[in-house]
Amino acid sequence: MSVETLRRPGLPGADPDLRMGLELLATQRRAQLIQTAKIGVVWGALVAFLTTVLLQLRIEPSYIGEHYGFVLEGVLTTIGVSLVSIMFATLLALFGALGRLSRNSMAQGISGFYVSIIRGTPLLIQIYIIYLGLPQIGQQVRALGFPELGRWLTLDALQSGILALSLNYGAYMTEIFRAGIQSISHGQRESAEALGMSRWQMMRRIILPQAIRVIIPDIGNQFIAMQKDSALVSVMGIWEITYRANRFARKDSKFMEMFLLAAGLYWILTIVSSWIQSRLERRMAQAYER
Amino acid sequence: MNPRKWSLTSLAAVMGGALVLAACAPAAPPAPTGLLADILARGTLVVSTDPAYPPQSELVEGPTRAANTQCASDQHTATEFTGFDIDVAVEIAKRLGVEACFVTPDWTLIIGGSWADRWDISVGSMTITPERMEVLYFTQPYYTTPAAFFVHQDNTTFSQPSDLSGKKVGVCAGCTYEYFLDKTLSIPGETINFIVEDASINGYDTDTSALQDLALGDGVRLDAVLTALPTGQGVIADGLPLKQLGDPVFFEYLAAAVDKSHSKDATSFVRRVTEIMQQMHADGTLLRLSQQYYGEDLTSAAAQFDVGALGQLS
Amino acid sequence: MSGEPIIQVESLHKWFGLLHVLRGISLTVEPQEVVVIIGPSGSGKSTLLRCLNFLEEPSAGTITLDEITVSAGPRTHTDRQQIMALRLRTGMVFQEFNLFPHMTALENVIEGLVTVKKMPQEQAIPMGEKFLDKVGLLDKRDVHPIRLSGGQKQRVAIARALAMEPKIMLFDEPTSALDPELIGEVLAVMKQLALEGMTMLIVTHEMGFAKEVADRIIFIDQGQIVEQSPPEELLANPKEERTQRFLSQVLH
Repeated sequence: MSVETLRRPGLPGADPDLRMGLELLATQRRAQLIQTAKIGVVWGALVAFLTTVLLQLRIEPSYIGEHYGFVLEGVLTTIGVSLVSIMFATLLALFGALGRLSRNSMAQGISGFYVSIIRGTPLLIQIYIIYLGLPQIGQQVRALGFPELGRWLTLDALQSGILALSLNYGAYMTEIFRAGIQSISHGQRESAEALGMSRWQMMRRIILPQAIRVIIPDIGNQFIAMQKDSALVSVMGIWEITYRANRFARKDSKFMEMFLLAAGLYWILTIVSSWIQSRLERRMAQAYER
Repeated sequence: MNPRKWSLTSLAAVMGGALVLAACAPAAPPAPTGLLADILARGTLVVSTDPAYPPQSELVEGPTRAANTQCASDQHTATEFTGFDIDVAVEIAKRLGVEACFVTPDWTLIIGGSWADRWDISVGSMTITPERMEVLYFTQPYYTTPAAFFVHQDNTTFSQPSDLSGKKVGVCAGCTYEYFLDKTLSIPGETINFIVEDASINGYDTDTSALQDLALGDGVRLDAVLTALPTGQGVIADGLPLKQLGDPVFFEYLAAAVDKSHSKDATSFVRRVTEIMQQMHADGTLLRLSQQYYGEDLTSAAAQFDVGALGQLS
Repeated sequence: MSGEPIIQVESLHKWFGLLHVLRGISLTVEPQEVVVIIGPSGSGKSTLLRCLNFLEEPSAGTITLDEITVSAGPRTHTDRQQIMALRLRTGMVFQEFNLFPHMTALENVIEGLVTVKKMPQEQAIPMGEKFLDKVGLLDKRDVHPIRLSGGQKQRVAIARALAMEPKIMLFDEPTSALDPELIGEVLAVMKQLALEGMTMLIVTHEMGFAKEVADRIIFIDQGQIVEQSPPEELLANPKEERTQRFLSQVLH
């Protein structure tokens, strides 16, 4: 009955056919290892092929080696902007999803409108409007006699970028959260209701803790996408990877070199993020078995 | 988003205000007001520059932020850039008695105005145009971009620009050069003499592709190209078989600009920068910089420009 | 005991779209009575049970439960409070257990106490342990539902409902999802409850259990009560032809 005994078959005096089981297990492991190695070889071949192709471009590879440092400094900014934005976006998405699933027509209307308008417009335009437009509204507000509020609406480049990314991803993630919440079986709601829980108690104690396990992998995907979309904040003069690569390229007209470098850095970032994400997913999968 | 930061900002504003009052009290000559007073009190001049345009503004490699700087953490110091615009900006700040700090918004965010007080001035080789004058104040220009015709080296039939009437002329599409040929060009403070009649205009995405087409041979694809003097001279130096035809036909005046919609009154600041520009013309500072970065004098026409004729501060 | 019925249902109707699932059900249950509801699948017996604590909104009719009366119709704030109060007086056990998978057995049992009744942890935990002990699963207090057998899950679910100290227990086919060898342990717990005098409404197919434990059996078909009487009477001498047909199918 107990799972522990099933898991540890090596106890002395156990199954006489244990040998057979162990051998089977070893074979399976070996097959898996060979498979992984084969995939590795394919990757290696593809990387070699891609490198050969890229070397056909009119570039000076040594230039990248000599000047990568300047662009590398932008990595921290890219990660920072993305991390802060994904946190705000997660909060927004949570409220967005609760709004969409709420019975309150006000909350439903607001979140529906939010998702619709943000998903219906390009991120770059949103950045321009937040950076250029909000301060103009701020001026009007200040003129109306609310100087503090007016100043709040004048965001610097970094704040504008984070706000735009958060709003944008918050809208997409609202749908992810909504699907995650709805994926929790109806039975869970019913048993919570039968215990006399209010809707909010049910959300907080029963639904969200389970939904979050469904949602976490998607947040990871969004984070990976965001690291690349954060390149758009370079228009406001934030010195992240893309800005640094692009402006540095102008110096010596080494565009291809710098773009390849930037592409490589983003790629490494997403590989690292994917790895962290898969570890997180594995931990999540074990969580119910403590 | 960050209430603590905001309250610090407002605290700084209050303290800044107190400093202004303190600075004002003993001053006998007309006390600076508006934006100029803010800049002097702050001790920094916040300049926008887009380091995408060598030799006007470009990046310097390495972690070169100046030590002991007064610039805010999201601003950059002069040591992180190099270029003609940068040196001019630093000189302006020096003559104001403050430190130059730089922010780097995209060019499109600079020319549209509505800077929301984020920076004080653009020193970005900006051409004075009527459209931009609606949202920006311009100072005395610090140099010019002369526009000149270039023809193939082998050509012997053209001796002056007016000979090009009715000929095939290449320009970058949508540039001032195209407007000169179709006679719609208008430059504030300048009377333009449209000496070329009925040219057949060939639009290109960039000036360089037009010049390369011209280099294919005299009259093969083009008879002439109208472009910026330094651009034409640049490709000739690079070995294209071209030559300049006659004198420049018009000048684009490049000046520093200030946002008209600044919440403080900016006019005294614009006047002060114009004074400084005029001094820099008079004492040869700009000429020296022009020669350093362009190898020639691009400043003389700008020195003579009558900024008062723009009628922008009345 | 006042002799007042603890449950009173008056002409209850339930529509799902154009499907008329409950067609005017009226019913009374006395305190400490054990009532077993039987009927063919789709007859509306589960729906009836779920209407009693408003997991399903009745389309028409009135339900009085321990002196709280709620009628069908649009809900005001007061109505919703009444429904909450009514749910606190009932405990429900589901066919699919519906334990909270992210909580241990003990956490499942005390969840309602802590979250709904706002009982402090140090008070709730001994109480939760008491009810786990009652269903014979105190040794599983720190185990997550995924490690429990079906029968154990259902016993934890019963403990969870009991911990709220309801006046009425509603069982919706509590053994239908269980492997045959696990049914006994659940029925034993239910039998014990009945002996202790709990008022119980049970939807089930376990005729042996019904015969042994029920005070009354109600046969429902096509959304109506066809016939109700003590088990020995209904099982031995069903009056209605529909009841006879149903019983011949389940009992052979």
